[in-house]
Amino acid sequence: MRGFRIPRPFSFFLLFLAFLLSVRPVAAHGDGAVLRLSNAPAGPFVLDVWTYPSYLIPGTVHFSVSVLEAASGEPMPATAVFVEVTPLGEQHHPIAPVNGRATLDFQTLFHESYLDIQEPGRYEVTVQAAASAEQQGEVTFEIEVASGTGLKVMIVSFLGVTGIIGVWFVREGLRTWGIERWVRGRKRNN
Amino acid sequence: MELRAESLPQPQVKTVREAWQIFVDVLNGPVHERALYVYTAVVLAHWVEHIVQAYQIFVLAWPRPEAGGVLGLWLPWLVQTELLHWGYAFFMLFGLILLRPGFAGLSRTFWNISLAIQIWHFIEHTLLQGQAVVGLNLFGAQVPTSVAQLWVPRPELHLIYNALVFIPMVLAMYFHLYPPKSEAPVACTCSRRSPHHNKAKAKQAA
Repeated sequence: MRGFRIPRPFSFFLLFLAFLLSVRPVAAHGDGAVLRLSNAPAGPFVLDVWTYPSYLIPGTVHFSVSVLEAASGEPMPATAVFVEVTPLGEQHHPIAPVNGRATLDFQTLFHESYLDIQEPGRYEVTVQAAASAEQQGEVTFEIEVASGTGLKVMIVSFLGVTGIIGVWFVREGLRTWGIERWVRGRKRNN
Repeated sequence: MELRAESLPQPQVKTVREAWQIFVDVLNGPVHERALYVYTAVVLAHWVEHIVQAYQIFVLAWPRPEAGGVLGLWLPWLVQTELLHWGYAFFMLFGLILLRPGFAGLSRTFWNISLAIQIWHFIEHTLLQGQAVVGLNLFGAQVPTSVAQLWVPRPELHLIYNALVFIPMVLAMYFHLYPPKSEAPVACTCSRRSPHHNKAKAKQAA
């Protein structure tokens, strides 16, 4: 086709797609943590705390903590961070983190900690940060661990319904591409 | 004189607009059924990925880096590329707009509902991606934040978005394939009541 020109906006769009190849994703799908505390003052620090998974059910609960110096707003990766979870109600035995003292990650500046919470219910989470004997601070907040049965039933139901839609889709596809007629014709010929 | 196809006046496509119009007409006419099928295959695969990921997180209790759906098990780098996430949202929106003229009646209503929700879903994805690229977050948040995320946590939010787009889309396709008898026939061959799918009956009628 003579005189056929690719419009300039389309070229820009292709360049934009190429650029996206190099960009890390925003955690938009099923893999994001929930921000529980944002800019929470804790002594000389400011803490942000995330929990994962987003909907807490019995099992391993992941805590990510970032520590900033309140005065300067600078990250403080060398700070020791300790996460403790205590059931609210009659039992008051704290649940110890799986990895004891939180590990340090100098690359992401997040302090990671895992706790194994087996019983549903409400819990108090205490996050302590300490850079030295004088520089210490802590924050507390509550989390709720649900039994998760309803969620699991919903997910399995979703899978079941999607499976039914998938079977319907394949069946209609056989008609769309004429495979059904081809199979019938073959049977008749045999 | 022998009549050759070359001797007939051929439409000269000179502009992108003309080529595009022909493409859209063909896509919503004779090729609509197959285009719709290919499009739905991608949408269905994406929806299954979301549910499998939710299954991995909440039923199998897999840790975050490992719960990447089915695709993430084999190609984790691909799942971590924004092209897949933003590109898919774009593909879905583009497909909903491109295949829309082929729908009519009740199926068109459901398709429009799906399109409206997907437009907002795409805006949310673009907002997230824009924040990640620019490095500034909305609402003073520590992480890129979309508007509806102020009320619903992000993972559930995008699962809900995809469900809200997927359900009316399936209904639209059902009513497109099996339209109410009161509806006038459409240009494509999708309807299971069309002569294309009932050749024996059509011959008898003829």
